[in-house]
Amino acid sequence: MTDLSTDLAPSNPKSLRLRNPVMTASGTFGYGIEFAKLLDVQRLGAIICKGTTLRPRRGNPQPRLVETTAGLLNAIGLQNIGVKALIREKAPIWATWEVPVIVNVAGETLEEYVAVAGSLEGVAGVSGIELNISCPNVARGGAAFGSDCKTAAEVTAAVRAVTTLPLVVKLTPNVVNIGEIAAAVCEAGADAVSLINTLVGLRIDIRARRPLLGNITGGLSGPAVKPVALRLVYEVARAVDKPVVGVGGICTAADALEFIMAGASAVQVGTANFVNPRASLDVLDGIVEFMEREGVRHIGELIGVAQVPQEERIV
Amino acid sequence: MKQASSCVISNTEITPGVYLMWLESPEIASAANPGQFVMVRCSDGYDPLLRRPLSVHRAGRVAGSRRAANALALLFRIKGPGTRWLGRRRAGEMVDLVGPLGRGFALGRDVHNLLLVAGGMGIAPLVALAEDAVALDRSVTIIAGAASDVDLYPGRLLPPEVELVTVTEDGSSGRQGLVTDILPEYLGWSDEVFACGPAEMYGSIVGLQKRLGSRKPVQVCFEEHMGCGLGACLGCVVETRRGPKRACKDGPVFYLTDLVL
Repeated sequence: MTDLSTDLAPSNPKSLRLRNPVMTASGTFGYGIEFAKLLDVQRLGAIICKGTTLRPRRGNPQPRLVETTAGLLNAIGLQNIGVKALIREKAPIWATWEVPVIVNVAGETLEEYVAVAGSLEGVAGVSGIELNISCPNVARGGAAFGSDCKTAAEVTAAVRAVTTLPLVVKLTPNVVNIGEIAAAVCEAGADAVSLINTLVGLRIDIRARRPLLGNITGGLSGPAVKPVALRLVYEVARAVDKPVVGVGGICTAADALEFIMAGASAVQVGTANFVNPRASLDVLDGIVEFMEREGVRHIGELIGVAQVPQEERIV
Repeated sequence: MKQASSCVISNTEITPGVYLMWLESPEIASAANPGQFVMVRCSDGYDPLLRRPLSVHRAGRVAGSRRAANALALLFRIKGPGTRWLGRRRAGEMVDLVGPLGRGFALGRDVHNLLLVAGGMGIAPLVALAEDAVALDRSVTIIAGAASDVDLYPGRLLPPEVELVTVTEDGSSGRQGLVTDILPEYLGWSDEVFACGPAEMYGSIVGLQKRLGSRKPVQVCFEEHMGCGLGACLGCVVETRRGPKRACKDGPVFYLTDLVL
């Protein structure tokens, strides 16, 4: 029998023990409810809901989506129902679910992050917080917090102070020192880090001679970003001793296993949910199949196995 | 709503660059309503990445075939790599569908005379509506517009009870101009208008209604790029008088008066 369980908050008394390491990424799975008719969402390790702010947000002007080669550029702009409606309408549904739901928390100011996180304390149906300091599609907040060690640590510490929930901090890849930022947020009280959020990209309509997206730039996701995400997960796993959650272009079990072997304790399936609504469960089934075939009893045996010790590296 | 790998029954180029594809998909076809759509996987791999939203064009028995009473027809124009892949599918091959999705047209009990207005590929969802309406003994007139004669949807594919009025931009067939040019002639007769076409067409209908002092109810089927088709990604949001709404979940059919164009 294979043991897939993984704990994303071993240092938190509440812990965030998942039955398996396969989650769905924020912004690609709604509130989980939208997909529940198409797949058994209860089998997932966890669901991360859409980025949630203090008040409802309208988001960015259209067009918000444009395809790229094996990828997707999006600039939704954190349109969401706001935390009050989430607590009133979504959390009661989650409370009846077996699968843990983690709320992705976003904001324009430090105070907003704190207010949203604080209001989730003790809400039935909410199993954790993913702190979104990495959204590239908003004028204020988002990645502005996550691009600097000091501000990233400040917002993490401020949120840590108002919540006992397991706290995962989602990092942006659009920096030069992701390892240092990861270490800074772990020092400030994060239980785990997840990465990557999207890579900032651009497409131009050559007939109109203008950017295709209403927001001009967007965040790139999908298979196109996978090697970049994998490299960053590998790097961050060396820099921190807290669990790392791998996200970025995962479509298959083989993709997920690469992230796990790079050092991820869990993975998130994102854009692939649009291509194949069952992608997350296909990934899960494929991981089990691989473990059985390879005689791996516990998923922990695979986490970080591909890390090459520093002394073995050819300079 | 189902995800179903569906077998292609036939795939025919009916006008230049436009394909009519019949698929064996009993679960989706039996549940589909006019105005709803399916998300179609248009690749064997991950490029192009996203599914394409295509309207339910027809649902039911394929004419002249004993197969699949609950077959589904899709109508699409080759616009890029995704639809090109779909155009190359042959009978017997499989295509992955998710659907039926969205909120389709609402056909009121007291709506006896239906005026259907199709701009180009906008005919796609309206044929399903025409078939349903005719089966309910309602009167249906379709004003169908195209760039030229060869691009017009073949009238022989429509139920015989439907009155078809054709309009071409170059005047090569039927009336010359745009569908909205002759819409006023039929507006008085109709109880309700059902339109599908480019956003500019909806703008013209709003202008017409204003000019004619008409308050005729108009339902329009909105076409937006979609990410998931399930209401999760918020990529297809349209502005309405009641705030931003998802074309995939709250639509794709909206009352014209609700839209902020």
